[in-house]
Amino acid sequence: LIECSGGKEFPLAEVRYSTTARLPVEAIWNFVEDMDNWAGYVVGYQSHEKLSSDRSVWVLKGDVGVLQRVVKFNVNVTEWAGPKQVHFELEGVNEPMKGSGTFSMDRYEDGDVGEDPANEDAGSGFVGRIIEGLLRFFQRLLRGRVERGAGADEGPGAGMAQLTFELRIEPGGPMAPMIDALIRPAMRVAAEDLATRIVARCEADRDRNPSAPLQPELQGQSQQK
Amino acid sequence: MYAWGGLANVVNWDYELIAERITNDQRSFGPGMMGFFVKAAQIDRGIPAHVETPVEQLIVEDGRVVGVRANRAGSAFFVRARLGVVLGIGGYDHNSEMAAMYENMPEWHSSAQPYFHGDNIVMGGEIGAAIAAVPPTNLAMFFGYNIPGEEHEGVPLYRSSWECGCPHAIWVNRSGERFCDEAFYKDYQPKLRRWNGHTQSQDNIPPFLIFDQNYRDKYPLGTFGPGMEIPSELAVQAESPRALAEKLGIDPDRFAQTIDRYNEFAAKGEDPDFGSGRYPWTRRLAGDPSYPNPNVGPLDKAPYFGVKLVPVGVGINSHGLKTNARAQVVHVRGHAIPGFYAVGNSAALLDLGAGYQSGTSNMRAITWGYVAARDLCA
Repeated sequence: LIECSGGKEFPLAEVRYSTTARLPVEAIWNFVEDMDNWAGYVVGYQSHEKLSSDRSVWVLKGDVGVLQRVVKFNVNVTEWAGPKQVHFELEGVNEPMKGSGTFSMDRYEDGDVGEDPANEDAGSGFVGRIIEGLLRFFQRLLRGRVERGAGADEGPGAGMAQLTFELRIEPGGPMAPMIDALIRPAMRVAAEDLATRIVARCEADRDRNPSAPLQPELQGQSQQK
Repeated sequence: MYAWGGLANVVNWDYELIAERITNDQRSFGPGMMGFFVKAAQIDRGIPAHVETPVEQLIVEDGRVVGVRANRAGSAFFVRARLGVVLGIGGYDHNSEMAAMYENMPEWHSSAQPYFHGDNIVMGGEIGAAIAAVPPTNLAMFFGYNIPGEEHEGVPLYRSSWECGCPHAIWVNRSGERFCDEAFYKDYQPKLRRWNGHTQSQDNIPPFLIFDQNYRDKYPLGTFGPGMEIPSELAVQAESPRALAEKLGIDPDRFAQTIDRYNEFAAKGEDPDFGSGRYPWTRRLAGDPSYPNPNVGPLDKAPYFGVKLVPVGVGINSHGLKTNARAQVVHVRGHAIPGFYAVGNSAALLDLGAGYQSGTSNMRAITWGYVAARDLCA
């Protein structure tokens, strides 16, 4: 919960999305542990700069209601627990907001087929559904549809992986409640898109060449100091 | 908005209530009103709306407008009109060539949705419609800035600047001089457009918004509230008025004199030169009621800030299709074009002339839409 200027508490904007992969946990981890591999899959990605193995600066173009703003974040990885989990914290450079996120890779147990109950429907309300629908449309339009290989919906089978992405954003300043209400629908789409793209990419690469290492695919620019 | 203290008190508005309304899909102001019309047409009466199907040409048979050709996903889409065509597609805010030609404003930008490309002028012109203008100036536009990186559907969004209605903020021209009541757009619009025959230029364009740390301690610049860093691409900053003037490229000596004179009277809540704060409307909209003059306060605390402003349209233009008392579009030869009507901002503001007040755009659309519909059904 975040406390607003009037003393009233608002729930923190938080989203969690899980998807399964026809790959072992280690294959997903090998891809996720290097942010260059998946940076271009982040919704609104413009660029990122790696300052060290833990610290990086990201520039995203995000939706705030009907407007788009360029937001710069400092990201600090606080936990590398491969092949199980990556946890990071983020703080806005040009906008008063902070947050955190987690990539979790779990071994999939046979019989857990279907939509993960943890997937939250953050796009509540008519406006939320409209915005979410538009975001999905433009994402597909601008970046190409995410296609997973044949058999992806049948469940991965025992010993394969489940990827969960969690993201929490806490806007700051006096307008925090309004910003929170505006970005909440987009967060759900962003989490789903990132997790789905990572899995789709890993599966596609593995299907093409089971023995080849996974290669990065950036849509923006990456720099390393 | 007024009950929450107006624009000067924007950091203390009730954002919990705003968030609650966003979450509950509650609308207010113009969108709230439009909701009733959308419901009446599409839900109550089942009238279809063809979205993403821009109309590109009027269809004329024997001198009468009988339909339109639209573009649906790259293919022609024709609609025949049994009674006539009512054009309500706005003006030319996002057609820079038309804006330069009709508004005489360099560097024209817009805060309106990026859909207004002057199609009213183009389609009307193709069948001989007359163009009319608002005398003597367009009051329904403002000056403002773009927050770096802020866009509206892929087009840079320009915000109207209301900062100059708060204390500790003024406008100056390139000579470093004030030239208007900055809090009252009906005063600054004609003075911005003033043509100087001696210099052969519009001396007051561009205006520069000037404020100091007193302002930053209390009021926002756009979305940058007190305590937040303002991007250097947006505002120039300096430790003295003279240094600020040099950075902005305006006359430093006259600018320093302007600040000294303004401060001398502002300390007493007075503005004998331009009368800022004389109207209740400016005091309530952007003024700070804790000041003797809610629109006036001295600029005497470093650092000082300057923003070069550009013209910002709000979807209302000085030129549009000429219409008559039945909302019919008038031909350049003086007769009404059968079956062709224009309403809202597609029609010239001949009803209002140079006058403008917030809400009149909605009022005109409703009124003339009603007039056109009655005439079509008569």
